[in-house]
Amino acid sequence: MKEVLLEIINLKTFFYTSTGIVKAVDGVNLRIHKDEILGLVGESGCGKSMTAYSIIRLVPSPPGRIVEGKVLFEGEDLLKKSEREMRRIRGGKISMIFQDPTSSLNPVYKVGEQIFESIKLHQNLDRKTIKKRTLEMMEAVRIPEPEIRSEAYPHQFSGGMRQRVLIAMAVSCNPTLILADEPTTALDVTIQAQILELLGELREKLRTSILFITHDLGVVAEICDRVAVMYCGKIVEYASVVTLFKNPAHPYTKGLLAAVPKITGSGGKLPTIQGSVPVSTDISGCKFYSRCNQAKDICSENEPPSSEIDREHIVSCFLHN
Amino acid sequence: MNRTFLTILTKLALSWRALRKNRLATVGAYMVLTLVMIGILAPWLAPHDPIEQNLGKPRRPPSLEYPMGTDEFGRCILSRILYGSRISLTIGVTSIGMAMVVGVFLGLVAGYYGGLLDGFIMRIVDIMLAFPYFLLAIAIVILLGPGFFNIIITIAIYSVPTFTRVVRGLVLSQKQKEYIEAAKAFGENNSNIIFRYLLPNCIPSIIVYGTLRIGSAILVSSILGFLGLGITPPTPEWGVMLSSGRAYFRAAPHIVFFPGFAIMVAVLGFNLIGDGLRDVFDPRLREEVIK
Repeated sequence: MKEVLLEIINLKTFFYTSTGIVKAVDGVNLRIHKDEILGLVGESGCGKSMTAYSIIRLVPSPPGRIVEGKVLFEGEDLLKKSEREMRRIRGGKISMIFQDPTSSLNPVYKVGEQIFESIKLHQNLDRKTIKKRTLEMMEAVRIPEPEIRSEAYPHQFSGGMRQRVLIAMAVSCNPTLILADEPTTALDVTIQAQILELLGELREKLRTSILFITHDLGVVAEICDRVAVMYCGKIVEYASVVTLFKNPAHPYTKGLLAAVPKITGSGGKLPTIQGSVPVSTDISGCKFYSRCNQAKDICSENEPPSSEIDREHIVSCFLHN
Repeated sequence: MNRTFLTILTKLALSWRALRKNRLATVGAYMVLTLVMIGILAPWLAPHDPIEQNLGKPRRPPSLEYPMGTDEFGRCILSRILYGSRISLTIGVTSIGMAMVVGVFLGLVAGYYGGLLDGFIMRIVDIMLAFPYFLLAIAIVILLGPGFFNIIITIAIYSVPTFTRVVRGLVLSQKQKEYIEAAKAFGENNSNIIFRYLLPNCIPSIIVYGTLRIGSAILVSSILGFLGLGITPPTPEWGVMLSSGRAYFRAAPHIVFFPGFAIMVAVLGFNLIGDGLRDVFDPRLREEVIK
């Protein structure tokens, strides 16, 4: 059994808007073990990104607020830390990779300076060593000719190269956890494969855990060890990648998997999950009730509890209760 | 050392080239450069002492001895205009420089922190903007009294609110950008985010706006001079010259024509250059060779 690095217990992050309370993260329980990649999948707006933002306490506030829960990182509750301590953790022990590499870099500084800055923030080194480390990091993420490229501005880089820069910044301080918020969504497929390979490689080399947020199940199958499926702010299923793909338990997971086009498929219409994510801020019972094809009466009345149907396979659904 | 020097030279050359692409801005740049040169070289260029009166030769039309004629006290108008460019440029640049420092800082802080602080700063700005512009300037100058330094302070105070407003608007739009979020995620503190992320990204617009304001600052100082509230005679200030020549407008129009023309050149020059500078300061529009 691997050691637990991050444990999220009953995390709730709500947004207080003029139209009511939006429960972006609604009682999430999650575990990330040492040097594993946990995939967090779900449709747009299901709270994946907000879970990540809640971990490093960057929920836009107001209107957002972490209402309750615990985020235990290496045994300490991050929600109890002071802002100053959090700043040391952000980019230090926990770093983040963003979805859109084009807008995530400061347009007025050279990329070398930006990597330099992220190292300087967290490590007490002299300029020469930092400079050397900057070039090493660029080498590590396979940016060719680091000496020359470090003098370029972000707009002179392609999308894939910019994402490499961001990854270099993220891993430059040897984080124990990387929160990757759809790092490949904005890239085209070939670049996507390269970035995934790079992340996998860095994980091996640096022994880092990654929380990999995505809505692409193909990507999950490729690099994740475990997967959590999120729906309407809740984790509906949690399992190892193999189990999830071979033996999905929640109707939502089944629906998602069925909706992935297959090369071996015989053509015809691709199955979809009917309806869309409910916008209502308060629904009693199972949030998936209105779209579920196996719904029973009890589903609309009570919230399904999570139950362990197999070792390390947790699902929240009355079908498995 | 040599390398740094070369880099600076290259940057200047590239900036100049970017500015050159805009014809009007080039014209503006030449106008301003000419005024600067005139100001620096005034003691050598001026044919006469700008203050010395020659009561025997009042209101002479332009001649070889006095290329722009003389005013009612027989002073050489050309010399006065040459020396006057020093005063106008100094007032314009320093007052806007001071207003920029204060206004930009307030705008950054208000825009970034928001909330009560923002409300407090912006309400004060609103109150200042609620006064008719010119009345405010006149009120301040009456409070401080005339004089070179007081005029600078007056124009600075009078320009701060608009800078604050402009910068706050810029910050609000930059703040939404993902790189600010990324900066926070890398553990940057607030002052770093303000001065290393927000400020540099707002600089191009600030410079453009500041340059445009220099033109209007020169205009305001001339108007104050014209109204007798600005620089006190006999200092050769363009607005004062315009004002004193007003009485002889029909008999000796050259007394008002040349100072008026000088004011126009200065204001127009800064306005043209302001627009052109936008291109120079935007790294995305700058053509630059890596290496």
